[in-house]
Amino acid sequence: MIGWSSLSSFISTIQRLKHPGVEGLSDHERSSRHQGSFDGSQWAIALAGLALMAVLWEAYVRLSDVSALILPSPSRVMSQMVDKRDLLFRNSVPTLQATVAGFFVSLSLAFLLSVLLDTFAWLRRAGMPILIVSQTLPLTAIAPLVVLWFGFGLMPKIILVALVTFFPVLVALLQGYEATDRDLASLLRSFGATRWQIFWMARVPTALPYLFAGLRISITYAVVAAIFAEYSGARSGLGIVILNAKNSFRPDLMLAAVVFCSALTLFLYAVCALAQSLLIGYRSGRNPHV
Amino acid sequence: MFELAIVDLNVKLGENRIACGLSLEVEPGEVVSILGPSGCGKSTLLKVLTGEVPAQSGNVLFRGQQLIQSDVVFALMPQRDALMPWRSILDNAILGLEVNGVTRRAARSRVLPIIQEFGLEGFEHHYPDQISGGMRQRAALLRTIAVESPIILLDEPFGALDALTRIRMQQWFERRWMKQSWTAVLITHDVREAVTLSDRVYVLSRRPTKVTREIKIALPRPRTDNPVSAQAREYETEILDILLN
Repeated sequence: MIGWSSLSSFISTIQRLKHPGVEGLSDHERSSRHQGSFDGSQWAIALAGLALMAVLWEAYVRLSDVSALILPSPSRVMSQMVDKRDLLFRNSVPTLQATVAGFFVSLSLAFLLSVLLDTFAWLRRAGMPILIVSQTLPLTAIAPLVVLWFGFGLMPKIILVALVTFFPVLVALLQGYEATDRDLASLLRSFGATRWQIFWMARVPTALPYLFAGLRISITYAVVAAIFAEYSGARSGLGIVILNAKNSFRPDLMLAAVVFCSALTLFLYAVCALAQSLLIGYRSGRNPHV
Repeated sequence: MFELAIVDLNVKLGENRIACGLSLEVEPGEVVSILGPSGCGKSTLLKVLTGEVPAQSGNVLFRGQQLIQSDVVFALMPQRDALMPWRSILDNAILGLEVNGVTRRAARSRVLPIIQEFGLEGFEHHYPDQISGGMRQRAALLRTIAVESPIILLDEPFGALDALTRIRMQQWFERRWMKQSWTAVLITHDVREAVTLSDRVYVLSRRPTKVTREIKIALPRPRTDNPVSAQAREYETEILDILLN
């Protein structure tokens, strides 16, 4: 029971975290400022825009009689998605695996590093330049090398996804720690709190909303990184589907795979947004469990 | 014996000399106010008492013993309430106990009985952004009182409140104090607040600061129930005179 009560209090603690920048806003302003949650009309406008683009594209292809080998029509891409769904779904699995695994490696790494960099100022000064350099490496050149070194399995993909995604997460965490209320830190020190207690009780909870902002930036890069890693050498995955379709002059299948890639990214982004709203999205006024 | 005695304290922050030969005493159950021009180092003085800032030389004695050698901690109430927005009022109030290793459950059951004395009953499970500024301030004071520290350090505790709420809080504070007799060091720049709440007032000089004047406020309590008396006004004028000249 004690375990359960501390777990539930932990959950209620993180449920209460909120974005520090939105204090003092009315509920309405808060909900419209709350990123990631669109209301119905926003979705409708976005979908209508997409539909309009598809219609124009379809019309152009039919009227201009352009070859399907150069520009396939949306309807043709869609029929490819249906015809080749087995192939596409089968190959989405390794891509999703690589993305999620790489993302978790990146998250754990970023957290560990953030603790170290937050604790030791000299490490932050020495380490930050190296980390920034790691972000300047061109993925197109690095990916084949990582595949060369680590083979065609899951490993190089995890490494590449982690390399691409960990930096935004790390920066978000470091900035989040810095945002901790100085008065709160003094207060905890006056109670005799250790550094570690201040870190867990004040700095980490303050950083959580920042972390989620970083996660949502990262997750949009993650699938692209996984696809690119596959592109540079893999046995299966959406990147391989795209590569094979390109080599056999099948832009319709390429685009069908591209749609799957974006669907994957959207799905992962939605998971992130959902996790955020479950953990820290609840605002005082609408949190019935308190 | 004095509850707290600061003897010939010198404090330096980097190149800046903050305090130079500062001495003051606090008796048990006494509210002592520290007044001074802004930037004179009042808040730094509190940080010396909480151990956050080291003293260059001089002694800080708690019941005659070196503060650094005793493991006593003085509970601080900061200028802004510094409540954790992600914790309920009750869980904010137990923060100090939790830091000192009391389990959440035990800490909650220790704080719950006194929550009503702070006018927070029914709001235990509310969050800081759901309650008024005065209630937040009382919650912050409850958090400070809950650690049962022998001396509470109040750093402009009512400074962030609007004028009416501040007066109500002062009334409430005086009534609570008359029952409990906390020993308190109150940092303020509000002369009226100092005269209303304290038994003695220390007026500090500019930096490097030391005590310019010690004034005993010999007024009957409660002082907050009545309009400001003529004697209180005299004290206020006297203190303002020292501060302005």
